[in-house]
Amino acid sequence: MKKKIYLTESKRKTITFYLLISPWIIGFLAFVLGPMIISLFMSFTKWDLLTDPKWIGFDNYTKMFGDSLFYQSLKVTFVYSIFSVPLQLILSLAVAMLLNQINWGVKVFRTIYYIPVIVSGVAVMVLWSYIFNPEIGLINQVLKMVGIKGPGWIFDEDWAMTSLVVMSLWNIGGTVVIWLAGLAGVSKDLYESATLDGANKWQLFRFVTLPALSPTLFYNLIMGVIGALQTFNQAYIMTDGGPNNSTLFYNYYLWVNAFDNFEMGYASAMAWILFIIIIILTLIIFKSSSSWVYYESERK
Amino acid sequence: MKRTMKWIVALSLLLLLTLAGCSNNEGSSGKGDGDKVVIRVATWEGGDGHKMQQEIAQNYMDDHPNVEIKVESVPDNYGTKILTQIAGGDAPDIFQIGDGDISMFQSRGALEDLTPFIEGDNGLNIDDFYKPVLDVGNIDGKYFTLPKDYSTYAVYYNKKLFDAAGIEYPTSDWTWDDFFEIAQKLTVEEDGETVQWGTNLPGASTRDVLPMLYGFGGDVISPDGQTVEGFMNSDGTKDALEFFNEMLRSGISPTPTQSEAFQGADLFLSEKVAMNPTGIWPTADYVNAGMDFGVVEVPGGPAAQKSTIYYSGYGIYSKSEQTEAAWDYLKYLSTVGQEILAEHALSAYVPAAEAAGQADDPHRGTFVKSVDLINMFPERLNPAFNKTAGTEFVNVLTQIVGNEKNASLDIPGLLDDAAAKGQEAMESEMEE
Amino acid sequence: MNYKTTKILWKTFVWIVLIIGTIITLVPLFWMLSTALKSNAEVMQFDMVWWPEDPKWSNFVEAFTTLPFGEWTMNTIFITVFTIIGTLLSCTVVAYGFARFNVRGNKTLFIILLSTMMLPSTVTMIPQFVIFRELDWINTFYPLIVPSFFGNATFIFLLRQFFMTIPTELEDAAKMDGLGTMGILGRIILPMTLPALTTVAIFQFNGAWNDFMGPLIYLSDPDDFTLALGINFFKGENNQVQWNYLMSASVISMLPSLLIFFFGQKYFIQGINLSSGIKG
Repeated sequence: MKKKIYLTESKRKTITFYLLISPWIIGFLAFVLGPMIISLFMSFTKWDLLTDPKWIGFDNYTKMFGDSLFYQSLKVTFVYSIFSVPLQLILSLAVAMLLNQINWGVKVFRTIYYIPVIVSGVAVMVLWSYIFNPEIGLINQVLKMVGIKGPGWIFDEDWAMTSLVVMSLWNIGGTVVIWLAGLAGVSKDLYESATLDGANKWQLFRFVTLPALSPTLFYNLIMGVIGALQTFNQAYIMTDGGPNNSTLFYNYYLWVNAFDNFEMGYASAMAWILFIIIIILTLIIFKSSSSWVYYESERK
Repeated sequence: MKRTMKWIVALSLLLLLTLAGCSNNEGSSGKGDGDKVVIRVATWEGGDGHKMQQEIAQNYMDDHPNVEIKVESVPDNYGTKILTQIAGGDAPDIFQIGDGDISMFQSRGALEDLTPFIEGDNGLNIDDFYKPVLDVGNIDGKYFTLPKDYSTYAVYYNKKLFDAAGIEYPTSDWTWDDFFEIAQKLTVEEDGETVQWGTNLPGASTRDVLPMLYGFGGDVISPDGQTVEGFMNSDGTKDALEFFNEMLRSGISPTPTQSEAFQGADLFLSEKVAMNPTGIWPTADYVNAGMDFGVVEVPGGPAAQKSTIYYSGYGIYSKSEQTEAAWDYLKYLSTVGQEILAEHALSAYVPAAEAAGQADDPHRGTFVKSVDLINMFPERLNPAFNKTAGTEFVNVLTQIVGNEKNASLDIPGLLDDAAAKGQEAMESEMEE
Repeated sequence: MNYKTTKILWKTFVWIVLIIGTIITLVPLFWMLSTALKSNAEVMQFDMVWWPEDPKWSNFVEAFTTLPFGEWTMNTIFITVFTIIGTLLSCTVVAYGFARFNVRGNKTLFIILLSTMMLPSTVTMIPQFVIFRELDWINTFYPLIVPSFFGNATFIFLLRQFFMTIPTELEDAAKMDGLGTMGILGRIILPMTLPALTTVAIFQFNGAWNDFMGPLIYLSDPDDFTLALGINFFKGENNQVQWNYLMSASVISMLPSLLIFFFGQKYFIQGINLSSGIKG
């Protein structure tokens, strides 16, 4: 008798689950799955967008191994991600924590820190081109005042990547907002009891805030990795992948192949290689998450 | 809370229904009212260019009440949109096309052959056009695009700076050596920093260095578009690029870092550069700024004096279901419509160009005269060029232009290498 | 050093850091505004002009009268409002399913959900276009609005993370009281995750408001344009851009985002009160 009730309960749970996620499943089947499968199919063809695709088997994939620009774009993208993702996470968390320390003017500050997210892409492009301008740009002007001759920034092959990482740090407003929402959920009781136990500021952060924020960190980390590996706009709007391919991001090179070189088949193959890379990284983060992400709902 | 949820659900359902209602009405307008023929025309021009196109379309519709012309303007990401529309089966009937893409689109059968229309009853007199410009759209004796506007390549010079340095204005019979000499005289240094450059040399752009190559008897591809070896690495090309390198190293022009750094700002306009070799585009800005400047033909070299062309045209999509109607509008756009466009850009339709006084204009006139100096550019001669041999050549240019530390370069060696690799890549691309 | 001095020093430090950050962040806004106020000649100038000598406030008027911005604003609002409604409705429900019903298939489907974000859109854009063409939705707002009613992977993931931070005790109690699944979601979960919901709404607002690729591909009739698309009309032929007008229009079109954020953020704070209130 008892067993039967347990079964129906589990079945009901399963049905409720599928009912709840059904909007996404329908949308996925209707709008997403088809295009994904078609792009996979296209990766085995030569397709110039103007004529019908031609089946060429694994040629696109083997071509990648001999394409030096493919390796270059992979390298560029990984170097960028390795630096920008952790730096962005740390800086945005620091800003969010600082914003939580003040009472007066907090609304204004939060809005200000969010501005970079809403400024249009074109404006950002012009602005940063001026800021990074070796001759009359803001950074080099300031450096000149203290007697340093600044580098060529995005116009110098050796500095372009650094410039883009610096630029990515300016654009942390969105992540800050998510941290803030996460911090808003940390219960004040925990802080109070920990303070009563004599915990100092660092201990509070390490043993109360950080664990409570771990689900948010998990989100920001995965989204950061996915976003960084798909970086596109910086190359498209500001550098065209240059100078000398030093900012040839993977996604940009893919786009160039699709719409400039009329090689949609090759672009699709590149897209699926990137897909595999990202999903492997995500699964690794997922597998590791059980040891460092604490969900209140799973607290035993 | 439960109530609020219900409200939200009900409200959004209602809105969704309204939405459905709204766009159902819109959806039916796809084919026009009744038996109106709808011709879609795609252009990448925004701003004033778009307004003129609207005006032309309106004039045409006033005369043809049974036709609706839809001008679809895509000032940003034009290529992405057009290719998506073509691949997705929803392409416009007429679309604007840049010079570098013509042979690509033509070789893939995306462009309708206009020759039968031109020669037909509702045809065109091709003698009404500047032939070298019209020929950009002519592939193997057949016309695939008609010119919308064009520009040749010439040299702007700042009369004030020339006067200040006591240098005579250049004339159409000048040479690249004269150009170099004048540019050196007009380069001014103060405290080890250049405050005025003699000229603004092109960057790593094949089209912009072509006039120099031609001048020295070089080229990048054979006239039949099949061979780069022996052309890209010909003595003329080698001499021209050695000369280009010498000019770059002499400091008469801002380095690419400097000039790229000033993107958006025009160094000629701000009088930091005395001679600016480029196309027609900045003329209006210079005139509006009240500058005292002249325009002279591109210098000649030991072998020839040749310019190059920048062109945008209109073609009819080969799968358009109403090519007759599309042709009628394309013809209108390329002739009568040119009267409006000629106010703004160089027109290849002679009556319109003459009506606008383009050939007699003190500044624009030089660009019109340079039409006789045009040589056909490589991307038009071979659709595979840009992706293959063209990339190799740009690599060489990039090394020359980007050599800001003045390392010694084996330019002939680089060119031999590029030509060999380019030839191979181009042939294998053409086989496919 | 006593406790009070430490505290004052700390506060001063926080303020200094925040103000430096503010300056860095505000530079672009300032730059946009100064460009918007420049004359055509000043825009083209070689030197960096921080503030125009004679600010032309009339640029704002001209920018808005030369193009049908009224219509474009209405279109943008229309699309944005619907996508926010769609996103909030679908994402909360789906995220709740993923967060609370640990049944077979949950993990796998969740990975599939995440994987939809991993394929560059460059290669799915054309097949998607074909689907919407088959539905006869080209040149309508449907392709821009309808998908939001079927959930968005980013936001489902975000909400799932927040739902999972809520202890289950309250729900268990509510279940005892006979509340159904939707009741629990609406009356217990949502009020407690108001900060996250506000975040999603604000992000979606921004995303829809600034979306360029979607409107570019699906809208061809200038009457249907959105602001992000229409602003490009200040780009003339040969890439000559009327920067001053472009910037005036950009400044105006970002104001709604700014206002929404400024007023929307109070729910962050309310969220704290609410959740601790329930717990207390």
